[in-house]
Amino acid sequence: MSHNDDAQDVISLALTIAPITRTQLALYCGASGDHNPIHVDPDAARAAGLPDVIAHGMLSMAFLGRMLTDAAGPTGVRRIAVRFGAMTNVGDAVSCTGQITGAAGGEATVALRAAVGDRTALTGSATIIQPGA
Amino acid sequence: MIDRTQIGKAREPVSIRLEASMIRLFAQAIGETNEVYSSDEAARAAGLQGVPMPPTFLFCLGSMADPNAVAHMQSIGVRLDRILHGEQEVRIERPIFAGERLTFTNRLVDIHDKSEGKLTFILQETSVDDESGQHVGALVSTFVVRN
Repeated sequence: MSHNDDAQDVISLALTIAPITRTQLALYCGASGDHNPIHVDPDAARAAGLPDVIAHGMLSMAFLGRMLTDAAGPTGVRRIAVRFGAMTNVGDAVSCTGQITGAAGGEATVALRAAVGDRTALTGSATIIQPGA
Repeated sequence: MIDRTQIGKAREPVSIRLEASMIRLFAQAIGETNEVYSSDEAARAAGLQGVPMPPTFLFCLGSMADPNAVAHMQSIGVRLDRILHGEQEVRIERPIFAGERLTFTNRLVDIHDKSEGKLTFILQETSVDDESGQHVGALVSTFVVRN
C-alpha cells in the first residue's frame, strides 16, 4: 500500500495470489459448500463443454476480500460487490488491485479489479473502514 | 421455461451457526494466513471478540444454510448446467464472529431476459439477521442462465 499525506490521497491496494492449484479448488469446494464438480472433476468440466476444471468466481472474490481485510482489518469490510467476467483456470495467478476513490465519515470506497495477466476476471467496488482512520 | 410467478416470493428463513472450524477451513482454502481466522486465542489477542468472519464467507454461509436452494432453482425451471454467477454483493452491517447463529431469508426479486431471450437474469436478495432479530447483512446475487 502506498500513500502520501495529502487528504485527497488516492491509495492503491494490491495483492498477488499464487497460481491456483487443483488442491486449492478442492479445498474451496469443501470450505464454501459449493461442490459443483466442474471445479474439481475434469470429466464433469469436459461434459459441461470446458477443456478443464475452472475456479469458482467466488474464490477470486475471496482474494479481493483478503486484499481489503489486509488494508482495513478483519472486521473492516462493510460491503463488497463484484461482476464476474472471464473465467479463472488452474495455474492462473490472480492479481488483485484496489483504488480508493473516495472517503467520508471514516469509510472509504474502493474500486476493485481481479485479473490474470491482461484478462479481467472480476470488477467491482467495496466500502471499507478507512485505513488509518 | 423459468416460472415467473415466483418473482417477489420469499423462501422460508433458514438458520445456521457460524463455526470457527468453517472459518479455519475457508481461510486455508483462500490462502489467508492471518492467525486470527484459525485461532480464537490469536483473535482475542488481536483485540477481536472471537474468530472473525471473512467478508465473502457470508455468501457461503447462506448457501450452506439452505440445502434446498439448488432443488428450488430446478423446480422453477432453471437448468443447473446453464447457470453462471453474474454478480454478487455482500453487505455487512456489523462485525460477525464465530459462534453466532444467523438467519437467511432469500427473496427472488426479478427474472428478466436480455439478448433477445438468449440470456435470462435472475436477481435474488437475501436478508441476514442475528439471533436477536437484528439485521446484520445482506446478499444480492445475480445469476445468468444461458437459454
